[in-house]
Amino acid sequence: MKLTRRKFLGGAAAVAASSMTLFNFNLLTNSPSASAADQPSEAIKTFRNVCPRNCYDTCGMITYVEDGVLKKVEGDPKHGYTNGKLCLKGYSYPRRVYSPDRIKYPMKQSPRGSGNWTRISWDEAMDTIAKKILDLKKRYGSTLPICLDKYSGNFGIVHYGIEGTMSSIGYTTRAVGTPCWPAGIDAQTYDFGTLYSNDPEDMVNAKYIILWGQNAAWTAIHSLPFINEARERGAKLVVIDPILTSTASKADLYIQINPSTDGALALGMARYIIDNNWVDWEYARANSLGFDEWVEYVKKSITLDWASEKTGVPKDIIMEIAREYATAKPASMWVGYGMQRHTNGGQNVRIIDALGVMTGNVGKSGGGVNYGHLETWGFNYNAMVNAPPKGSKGFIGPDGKEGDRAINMNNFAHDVSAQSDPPVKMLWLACRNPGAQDPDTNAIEKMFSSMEFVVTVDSFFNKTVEMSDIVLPATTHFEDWDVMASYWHYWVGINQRAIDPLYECKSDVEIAIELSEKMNALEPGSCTFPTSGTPEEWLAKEFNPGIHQMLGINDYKELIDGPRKAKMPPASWSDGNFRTPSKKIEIHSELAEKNGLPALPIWVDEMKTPEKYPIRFMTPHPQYALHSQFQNLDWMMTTNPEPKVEIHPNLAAKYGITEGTMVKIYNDLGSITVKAHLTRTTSTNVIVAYEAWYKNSNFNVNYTLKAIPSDMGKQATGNDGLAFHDNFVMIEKA
Amino acid sequence: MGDWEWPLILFTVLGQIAIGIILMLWWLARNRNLNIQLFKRGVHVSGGLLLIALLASLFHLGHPEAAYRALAHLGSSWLSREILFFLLTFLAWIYLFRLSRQQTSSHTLGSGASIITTAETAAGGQPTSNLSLGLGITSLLGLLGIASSAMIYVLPRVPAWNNGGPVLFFLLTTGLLGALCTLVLGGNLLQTAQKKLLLQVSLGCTIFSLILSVIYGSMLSASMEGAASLNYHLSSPLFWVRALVSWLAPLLLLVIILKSPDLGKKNLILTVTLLVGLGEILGRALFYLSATGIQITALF
Amino acid sequence: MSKQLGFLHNSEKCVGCRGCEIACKNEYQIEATPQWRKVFQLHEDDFSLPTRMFFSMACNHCAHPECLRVCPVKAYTKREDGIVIHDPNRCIGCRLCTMACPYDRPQINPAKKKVEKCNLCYQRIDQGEKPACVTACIPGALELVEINDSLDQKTGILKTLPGLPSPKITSPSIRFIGPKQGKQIRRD
Ligand code: SF4
Ligand code: SF4
Ligand code: SF4
Repeated sequence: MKLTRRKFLGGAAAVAASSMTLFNFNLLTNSPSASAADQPSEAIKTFRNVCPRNCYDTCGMITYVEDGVLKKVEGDPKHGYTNGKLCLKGYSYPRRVYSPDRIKYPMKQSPRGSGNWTRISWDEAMDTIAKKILDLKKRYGSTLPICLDKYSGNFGIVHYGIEGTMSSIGYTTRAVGTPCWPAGIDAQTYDFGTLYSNDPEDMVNAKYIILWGQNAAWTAIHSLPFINEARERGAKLVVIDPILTSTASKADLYIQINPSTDGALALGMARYIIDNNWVDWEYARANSLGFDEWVEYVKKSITLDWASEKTGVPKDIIMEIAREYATAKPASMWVGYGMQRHTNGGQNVRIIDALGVMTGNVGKSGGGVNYGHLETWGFNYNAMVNAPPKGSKGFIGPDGKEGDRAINMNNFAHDVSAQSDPPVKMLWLACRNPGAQDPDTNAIEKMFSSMEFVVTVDSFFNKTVEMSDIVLPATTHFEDWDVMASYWHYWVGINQRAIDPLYECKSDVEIAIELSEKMNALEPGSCTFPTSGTPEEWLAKEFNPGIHQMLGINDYKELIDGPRKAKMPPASWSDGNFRTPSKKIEIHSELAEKNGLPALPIWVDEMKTPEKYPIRFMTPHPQYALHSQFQNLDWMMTTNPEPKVEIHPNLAAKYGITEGTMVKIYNDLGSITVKAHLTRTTSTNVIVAYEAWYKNSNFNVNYTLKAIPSDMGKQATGNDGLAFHDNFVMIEKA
Repeated sequence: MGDWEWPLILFTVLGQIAIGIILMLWWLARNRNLNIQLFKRGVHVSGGLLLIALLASLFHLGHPEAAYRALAHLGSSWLSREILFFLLTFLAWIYLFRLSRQQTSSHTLGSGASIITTAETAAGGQPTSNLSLGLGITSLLGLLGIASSAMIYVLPRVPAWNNGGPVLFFLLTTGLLGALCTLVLGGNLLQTAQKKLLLQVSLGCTIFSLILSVIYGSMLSASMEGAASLNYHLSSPLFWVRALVSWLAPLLLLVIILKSPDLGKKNLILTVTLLVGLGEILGRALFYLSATGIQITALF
Repeated sequence: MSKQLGFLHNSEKCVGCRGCEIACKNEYQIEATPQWRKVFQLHEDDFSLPTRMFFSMACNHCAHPECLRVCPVKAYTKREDGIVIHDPNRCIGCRLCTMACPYDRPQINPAKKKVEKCNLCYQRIDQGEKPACVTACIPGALELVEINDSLDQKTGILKTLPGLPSPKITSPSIRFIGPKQGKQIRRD
């Protein structure tokens, strides 16, 4: 009891401390619970926001604000896809905004990595950064020693002002690519000309649904009602996944496939469909190139026995789903990003694409081989485009053009270190946490420590911030104007400034303006970023007639009344205008061939399991977090306090591991130690831990992950993807 | 559940000692030969203990300043009833305290009493029956308080408690520690026969407590949660210390004392009392620590 | 009492997304530790096939609320519609209710040193709205219902699930639709 009382005292002291730093926070948390829910009084204002994370669902939200304090968030009922509901991450936003752990002021750390942070003024921060940039420019004759790594921490369109910040100081080094989904993007680019999925709301029309490596329950939960409605109308749900996920647990049929063999399963299905002549010859021949050539390949090279052997799926099941998928009409497939994170991932997606084409499910409502789309992203990217200052020296690319120096985002540590002419000396990180998310964390740490200067813009003291010299406090999406599109649904919505920026937080564009002012004061003409414009004006500049027309609006302000759905047909490719060089589906892709890949969607062997490291370590997306965001918030830490690794009981028994044992997972690159959870949701040679950044924890799944490229990605995204799921390890009791 | 509930351990054990002493005084006063000095000592000590107990009880509340509200639910809350009875006990004790201030003699009350204060006489002339009545009422209220305390824990959710166990154990503690503490307080003020009776009460309570514990323990295994409580006990070193200091040692020592010619082994009596006190505190701690409620059993 | 409101949880639909749990926290801005609502994952051995199966539980607004019986300050009241309300203004933090409730639903708020629990969003219900957790449930697994005989007579309505305390203790106002399993092709 004494202990408990002392804890109570500690709690009270913590409350007092937070009330000193932010009185608003206290107002929020101390409101008596019974009165907090009293109906919105006159004083409560609502705003429209959209969750800007790298997420399928990109939810419309309504934000409740009283006296300048965010009281709660709700789903926006006017958003047809997210339909007035948020996910658990969305509902935790008030805790993010008012988290006592938020980075509140510009701070500097000396020395880097010491944890010795001191608050500095914006002026000092900008002065230090500007002087460093100018110094590097002087020493190396260009701004190429400055490297930007920005990606998906906030996908708001105005956030492309980060790229604009860099363009405005000269030519710089840029991390290019996407770690998430490039192999699949390229696969669909080779096949259809680009990635373009059906409206997910159209899934209600499907008579058969295959989720292929897709755990919607955790990563796209707002799609479930549409899937469920299709099921209520009689559709069967099949989930193919190496892991029995929460989604798979609900399926009519769950298939625990050997990882990385999805193409073999699809080929086995194709063979059976051909043998039974369930092929939609008319559609395939009229709309695609090289279809017969591929059919010949399947007939000649593929047998059901082979497919069954390869995938671990019994022949009769392959036959069952082949028949059902080919004859359901329409049948929908949703290809998850997990299944393309392999060395043959893109090729597997191409084979699945071909399966969709051969059954005539492409271009049909209730059908499609759905992966994602970028149809609603046609904004101006005004904040991103700035001419370099006069006389800027750039990198001469292989095409002889002068410009930025592109390095591979997916091999960032290596590529940064490999630059020599000039070397990279300074990193600018925004919307990105390579310390947590990049492969080979040891290499990342080493590379960071070799830098002269690291600036990070963020909201929390995460692993990347820990390795920085200066951190600048970022606003949340409630404190800023922005516009958000989704790569899954067809809705576009606006982010209003619901509350004033807290503490001394600034948006990326405001930071660019500050930097521009400072640099031009120190050296006139050294930065071209405009120094005027309110955040809302910056937002307004992103819109164009194309977007207006697509959304059926005349002015961005109309989005304040509710998000808008793009005026597009429910089925992608229903017009048959494919965007390949031949304007047809290219089952035979010369572009792929030119890029050193098979022209046809034929089988490419999966990565062999190394003898020394016989266990596959999969690290898929978490439920409580989006990468390294959310899990650190106190609500999440209560409901999911610690990471676990899922191990099959049979595998665990081999190593004397029981429930709760600490397990060391290791390979040549590094190791992590994490608590075991024994479960038969995984298989005997696959262990699973969900990537996330826990508060006060150095858990990070990427210590053992080699930067092995996936087979595709270069064509559309600049660099190949990452074979995240071809990560092989050994385990032992820690 | 499963906490070291220090305020509650203190409250229950000290409260039970206090009421136990008063109970013993009442019993000694029944045939009018309670030494007035012992009466005073007993009243003062029990009052002090009662006060500490009541204060300690406040500390298990999140909001001690609002403790008065705890009287609000006499209709069904045993906690409300407990507070009521303890407050009444305390009021009755104040009456005893007043009586004790009026006694100036150091002699034994009752038939053999040689001096009765004038104040007593003036007050009604029946001091001893007043005293007896006062002690009796205080004891009864106190016992009701203790029974209510015990009833608080009779929760359907906690199989280990959902029976006669708590009431019996709390009352046994009252008798045992009440008798022993009275022995210590009484010292030479007690007549040998009184000493003997008190020692016999102690021995009886100890034996009863031991038998009851065995029966109770075997009963516990009937439910899953009860079995968990039992297991907790049997595997806790605290329990074995308790078994030693509050059953084995007292049994042995009490028999030795009872066998000694003048029952005058003061140090031994003090030792037994301290051992039993420690044992009861451990027992109470185990009572809270081992409580296993019926609950949701899920993976996460 | 004229009626008894309660929850109907459909474990067939519930995917354990915890939306309800955090939506409740969002609605009332609850501190980290009291979990008015909590989603539980059922033991996979309770099923014929391995699975991830869940149920979501807040206060069950029991017909025989133990919390209410033991509370010394009458912080608990049961409304005409069966909602068991806990009034933190009356609560003195004795924690008896936390010991008495078999579902561990009243929980102490360490900062306020008072107990808190789900009041079934009675303010919302009084306004004709659904509870925040019910509104938040994307697959529609959580419903507000009237607990009565006609509900209990429907096929597939369960009074308890594996791992739950016997409903005899408090007669909780929650019903379940049991989990269903599909076919699995496994590699073990
Ligand atoms: S679930 Fe617990 S807190 Fe809720 S009414 Fe029942 S006993 Fe009371
Ligand atoms: S009914 Fe309201 S208070 Fe109760 S769990 Fe649901 S959201 Fe929370
Ligand atoms: S919101 Fe619905 S689906 Fe999600 S955990 Fe709660 S009850 Fe289950």
